[in-house]
Amino acid sequence: MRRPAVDPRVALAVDLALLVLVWHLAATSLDRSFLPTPWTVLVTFVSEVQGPLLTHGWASLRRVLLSVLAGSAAAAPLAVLAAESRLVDSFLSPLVYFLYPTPKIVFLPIIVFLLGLGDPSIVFLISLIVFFQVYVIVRDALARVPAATLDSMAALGGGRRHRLRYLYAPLSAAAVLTALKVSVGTSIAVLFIAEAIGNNVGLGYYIVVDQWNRFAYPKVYAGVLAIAVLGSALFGIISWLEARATRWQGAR
Amino acid sequence: MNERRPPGALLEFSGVTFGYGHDHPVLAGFDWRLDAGEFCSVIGPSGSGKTTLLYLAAGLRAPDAGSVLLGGRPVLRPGGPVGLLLQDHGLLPWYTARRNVEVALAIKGVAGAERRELAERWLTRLGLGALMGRFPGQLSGGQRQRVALARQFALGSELLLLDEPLSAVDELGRERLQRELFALAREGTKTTVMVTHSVEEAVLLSSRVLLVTRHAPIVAAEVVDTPFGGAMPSRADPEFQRLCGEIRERLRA
Repeated sequence: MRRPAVDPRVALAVDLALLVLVWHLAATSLDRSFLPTPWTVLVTFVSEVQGPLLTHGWASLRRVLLSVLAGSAAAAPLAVLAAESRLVDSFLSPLVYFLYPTPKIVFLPIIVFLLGLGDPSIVFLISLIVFFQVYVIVRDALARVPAATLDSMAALGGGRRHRLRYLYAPLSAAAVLTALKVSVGTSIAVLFIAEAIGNNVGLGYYIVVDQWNRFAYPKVYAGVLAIAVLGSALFGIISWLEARATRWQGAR
Repeated sequence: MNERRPPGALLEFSGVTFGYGHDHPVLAGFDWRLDAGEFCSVIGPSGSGKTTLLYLAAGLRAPDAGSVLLGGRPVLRPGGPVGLLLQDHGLLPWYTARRNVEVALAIKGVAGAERRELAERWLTRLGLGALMGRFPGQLSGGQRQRVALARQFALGSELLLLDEPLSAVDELGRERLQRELFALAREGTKTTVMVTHSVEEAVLLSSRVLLVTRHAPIVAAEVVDTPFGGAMPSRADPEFQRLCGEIRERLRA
C-alpha cells in the first residue's frame, strides 16, 4: 500500500475543519432556516443529547447491536457447517448467493405484515443484511483454505474438533469482522429508513417524524450528526477489532 | 513411540493398487519396502504419483487393493507415528511460528507445558529462535520451510514423509538446509521418505533412491542404493557424480 503523505488523523482534522468552514460560510451567506450554522447545530446537539437524542440514539444502537449479534450468530455456524458438509453446502449456498444481491430493505413491508411495527421487525430486517454478508464472506474464506492445510491437519490425526478449534474458529472470527465492516453502512441506512417508516423511537424516527415534520431544522441536523457519530463509532470499533484479528494477513 | 523396534521393514507396500478414477491408476500391484532408519528419496517426473505414495503411507488415502503396513500393522487411518510435510507446508497463517508447532503437538495429544518447551527447542534448533513470534506471512519461503521441519521434528514421528521439503529455499539456503536435514533425519534412527525433483539432492541425502521412471501406473520399485554410508558425500566426489549420471540415464529411459 502507498504510504499517505500526511498522517491520516491530521488530514482528517483538516478535511473536517474545511467542511465546517464551507458549511458555515454557506449558512451565513444564505441565511435561511433550513441551513443552520454548524455552531447552532452543535449547541442543539449538545442539549438534545442530554434528552431525547440519548433515548433515540440508544434505541438505534441497541437494534444495530442485536442485529449484528443475531445475524452473525446465525450465519457463521451455518457457513462452518457448509464447509464441513458438502450436502449442506450444495443446498444452502446456492439459495444464499441467489438472494444475496437483493436489497433486503424491499422485504420491509412483508416483515412488517408478519412481525408488526416495532423492534422485532427492524432487528429482523437488519439481521438479514448481516446474515447474508457474514455467510458469504465466511464461506468464501473457509472455501479458500488450501487442501494441503486440511491434509496436514488430518495427517496429524486431527478430526472435526481440531478443525473447528484451530481452523474454522480463528478464520471465521476474522471473516465475521470483515463482513460486519462491509455491512455496517448498509445496516445503518436500513435502520434509518425502517425507523422513519414504522416506529416511535430511534434516530430515524427522531429525524424524520419528530423533527422534520415540525420543521425543527437544527434538530434534524443534530439527529443526522448523531447517526454519523453512531455509524463512525461502530465502523471504527469493528475496523479496529478486524485489524487485530487479521494481523497475520499483513506484511505478506 | 520411544520403544526400540527390531530392525526390518518399517513401511511395506504389498500389491498396492490405487487410482483417483477408474481410468487412471497411479499404482498397480506395487511392492516396496523400507527398512527402519533409512532415508529414501523418491524421484521421478511430475504427476507420476510420488506424492500419492506419501498419502498412502500417511493413511490419508486407502489402497484400492493390496496393503500398506507400518511396523507390521495395516495403515487404516491417519494419525499414527507418521509425520507428513506437504509442499506448501500446511502452516496455519493465523498462528505464529511457535503456535503452529504447539498446535500440531496439541493435536497429537502432547501436554501443554511440554508443547511450549518442544516448540521453542526445535525452532531454535532450526535457527528460528528470534522469529518464533512471527506469522508465516512475515517469513520467507525458506523460513516457513524451517518452521514446517521444526514442527515435524518436534512431533518426533517414527516415519517422516517429506514432499519436496526444500523446493521453496534459495540455492545457498538449500545447501545449508540439506546438511541440516541430513543430520536431523539420522538422529534417533528416524526413517524418512523424501519426494524431490533434484537428482543431486536425492543422492546427497539418501541411503537409497526410489526411481519412478514411467508415467502412471507405477508397477515396480526401481531402487538405487547409495554407497556413502553415514557421511554426506561431497558434490565433487566422482562416485557421487557417476551415480547422479546413472539415475538421470535411467529416468530418461
